[in-house]
Amino acid sequence: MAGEIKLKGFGVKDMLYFSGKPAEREKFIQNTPAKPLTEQYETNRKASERHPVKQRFVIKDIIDRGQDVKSFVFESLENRLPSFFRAGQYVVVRQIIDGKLIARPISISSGPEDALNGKMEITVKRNPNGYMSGWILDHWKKGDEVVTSGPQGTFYYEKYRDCRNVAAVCGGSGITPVLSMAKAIASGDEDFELTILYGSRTRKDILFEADFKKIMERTKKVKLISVLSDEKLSGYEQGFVGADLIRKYMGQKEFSLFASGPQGMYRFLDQEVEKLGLDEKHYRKEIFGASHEPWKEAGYPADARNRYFHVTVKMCDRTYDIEADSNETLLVAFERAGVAGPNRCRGGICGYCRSKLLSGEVFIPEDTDGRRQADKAYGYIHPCASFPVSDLVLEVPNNK
Amino acid sequence: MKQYDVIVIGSGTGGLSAALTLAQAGKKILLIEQHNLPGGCSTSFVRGRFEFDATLHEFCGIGEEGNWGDTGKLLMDQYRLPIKWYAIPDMFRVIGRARSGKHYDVRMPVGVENCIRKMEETVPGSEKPMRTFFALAEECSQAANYFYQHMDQVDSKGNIKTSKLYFMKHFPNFLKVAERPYNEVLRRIGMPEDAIDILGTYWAYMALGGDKISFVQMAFMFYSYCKDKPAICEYNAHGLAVTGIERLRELGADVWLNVRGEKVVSDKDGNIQGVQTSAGFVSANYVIANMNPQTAYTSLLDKNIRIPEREIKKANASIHSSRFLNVYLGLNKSIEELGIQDYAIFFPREINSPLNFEESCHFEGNYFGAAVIYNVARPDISPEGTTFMVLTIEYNAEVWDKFSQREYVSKKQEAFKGILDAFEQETGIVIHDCIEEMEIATPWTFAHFLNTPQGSVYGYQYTEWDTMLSRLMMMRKDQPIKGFKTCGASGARGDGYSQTYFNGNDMANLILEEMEGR
Repeated sequence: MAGEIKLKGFGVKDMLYFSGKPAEREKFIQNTPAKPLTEQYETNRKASERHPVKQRFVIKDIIDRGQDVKSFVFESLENRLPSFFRAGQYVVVRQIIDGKLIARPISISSGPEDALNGKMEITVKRNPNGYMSGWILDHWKKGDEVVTSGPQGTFYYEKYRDCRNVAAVCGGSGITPVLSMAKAIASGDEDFELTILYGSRTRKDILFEADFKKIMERTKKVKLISVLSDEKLSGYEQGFVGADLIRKYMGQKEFSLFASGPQGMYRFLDQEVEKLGLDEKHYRKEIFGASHEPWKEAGYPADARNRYFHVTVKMCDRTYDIEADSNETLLVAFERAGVAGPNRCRGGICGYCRSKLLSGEVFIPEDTDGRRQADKAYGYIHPCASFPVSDLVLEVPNNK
Repeated sequence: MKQYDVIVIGSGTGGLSAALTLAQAGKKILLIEQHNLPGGCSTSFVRGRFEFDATLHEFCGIGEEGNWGDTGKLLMDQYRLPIKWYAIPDMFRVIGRARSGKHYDVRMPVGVENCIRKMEETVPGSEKPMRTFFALAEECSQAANYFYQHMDQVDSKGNIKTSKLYFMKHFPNFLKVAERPYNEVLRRIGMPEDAIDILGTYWAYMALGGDKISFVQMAFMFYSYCKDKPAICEYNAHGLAVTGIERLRELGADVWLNVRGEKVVSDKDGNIQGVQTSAGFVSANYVIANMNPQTAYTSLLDKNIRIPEREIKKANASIHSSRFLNVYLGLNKSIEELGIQDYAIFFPREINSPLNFEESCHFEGNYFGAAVIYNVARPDISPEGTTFMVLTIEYNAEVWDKFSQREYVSKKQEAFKGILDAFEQETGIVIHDCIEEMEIATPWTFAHFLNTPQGSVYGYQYTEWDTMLSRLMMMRKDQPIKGFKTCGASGARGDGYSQTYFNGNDMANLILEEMEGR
């Protein structure tokens, strides 16, 4: 039908207008000054402040919290402030140990306001089965330089998603992101009612008790209830944090439940949450971490346990042949061999370690399978939450 | 050290498309991507039990098996990507007051006849001008196709050579209406004013009001959506990117993720020798960068590569186009429970594209909102009993630069509350009490992930002097550096998924010509 219609009121002038367009554009370009181009706009500058690839710090102070726990106070190098963050977020600490690059997500225990004063604090507890935590506690000293990622993670309060009343159930060093939330409430950077049910074995295992006391003097929105499992003491609840205790302190109010602690605590809490009748919207967990005992997970191929598999890792134009212990995640195998790709959450969720499985089979516990739909269909895996159950060939992103 | 024929920097739709074209032509390709994921904007992220598509609202020009539209032909027939498409049942629903003061709530169906009927029903007296409108759109579409097939000749001014006589004979109306402003042409063909307002609903995709955007651009897009139906794909935009990457692997290309292209390295005469990447130096004599030319000129090219003065002038003359605030919502109710029937809902309050554009240049008083509810077209996109939707605010100026780090979160929340309230008021659909997961992306977020100037997503803004047709005519002249091209939303064909796939294809073809010494 092209050209079939006769347009009224359009003519030669319109055609000339059309033909003149490229010349008009050329003229506009030529009449513009050739001044040097802007290299970075304000939006981009602020975005890179907020989401830096790396942050370089120096350790300004080390605070012994007892019980094999230390806090490290960082000050930034390079004339910039630590990135402002959402209380509850973590940074990935990158550390070269025995010539191998190891990385771990560690929660920020300071409040966001401190970042504006040039400081950021993380807190590390020794994990007897771990590698990095012990190394940090034994080696880091004042004046050392530390490299971390920008703030990461989504375990934070969101005004238009969560209830104004939050019950935070914490165990052990899982208290640190919630401590940061409490500080943020005190400084006015967050605004919600936070009731913390903090489980410890005995009173001396309670971390940051004095800090919480100070925060509660500053704001009525934060309330700490310490729950001791192995000790009876007045002013403290006794037992484990379960449905009854949560109900006791939250009453009839509608609330969101935030949980941060060891895997055992989440398993226990999952059942208690059912008793409370909370739906998924009202129940948020800090990253669970990879399974420590994959052979106990549903669907694990029994004969794969306690074995070593041969893994070929392709990274850009390099190829590495390594061994992988079937009882550990592939990411740990990469780290042991000094060929780790990028990684952040180490719990299967964030997807930063996403790699292509070219051949072989892995076991991925369902709880920690945070893969995208297309990745499942096209054979991509998250090595931080995948266990080898055969020899493998993988393509892993570069890590520089 | 490996030698490649071409290194493509950036795996956004433009870069991916360029790499696919070159790999299909038998060239040895290395595609590098700064992120751990391919795709640029074409990506997704997981929150709880939801996977959120980051940017794909609706594809233009897909069509269907056996009758592919222009984009469908490129992706399915040429690149042979195994993509499953889902057609979107209607074009859009728009709610608001026209300039006349009359309130409309219109669901515009797909299909030319349906659309004409609906417009006549909504604004009596529209039928005849609607028929003229579609006839002109069809002529524009044919003229554009003819033009695309003849882009290999250049005239004495460096512009693409077209036969004026051929156009006058076959597409005479095209020559008269193509570059005139959209609303002006609609008015001159007798379109009622309220219908003009409703026909401007898609202005946000062009990031310019109907008083300024060339007729051909808006009419062509409207017509493509109407005729071929808007579409989304299985596995969302991330799946689209992964499909492209897998196809590249099949074609023998190498793909390196989490690798930054730091410098395009040349010899003392400016002949390209390769790319310095974060994973080392890689040689190649040809490079395509999926980035804004301004970014390439200020940070990517080494000093020996001469950047013509016209390019600096052009970059200074150009305006960075739209950037967005996107709110991704995972709701714990189904669309049936919520009473949602529409895939795309525009709720501008005032259906008036010039005004909407003007308002989009500010943070405050920017009331133009759009909602996309994916489950309407793809029921399985989120778990049973849930809904995935996105609310979008468009900004056509750098308005997010003024906020401090500390107030950033509260500004995100303020903007979200504004669009949430508007959505609930205009549609009567209540969603604020069933938000299970949410994330808000702002221009800062886009600046962080895409590294585009000001976090813009739409490349360079169309203006009255910088129209798509004149850019296309000057496509060769606008890429003057031998062995180096940029592709993406700043390319001649502009922004959007379909356009950037075509633009990557255009740039790959220019590189192929240079390689063959043509």
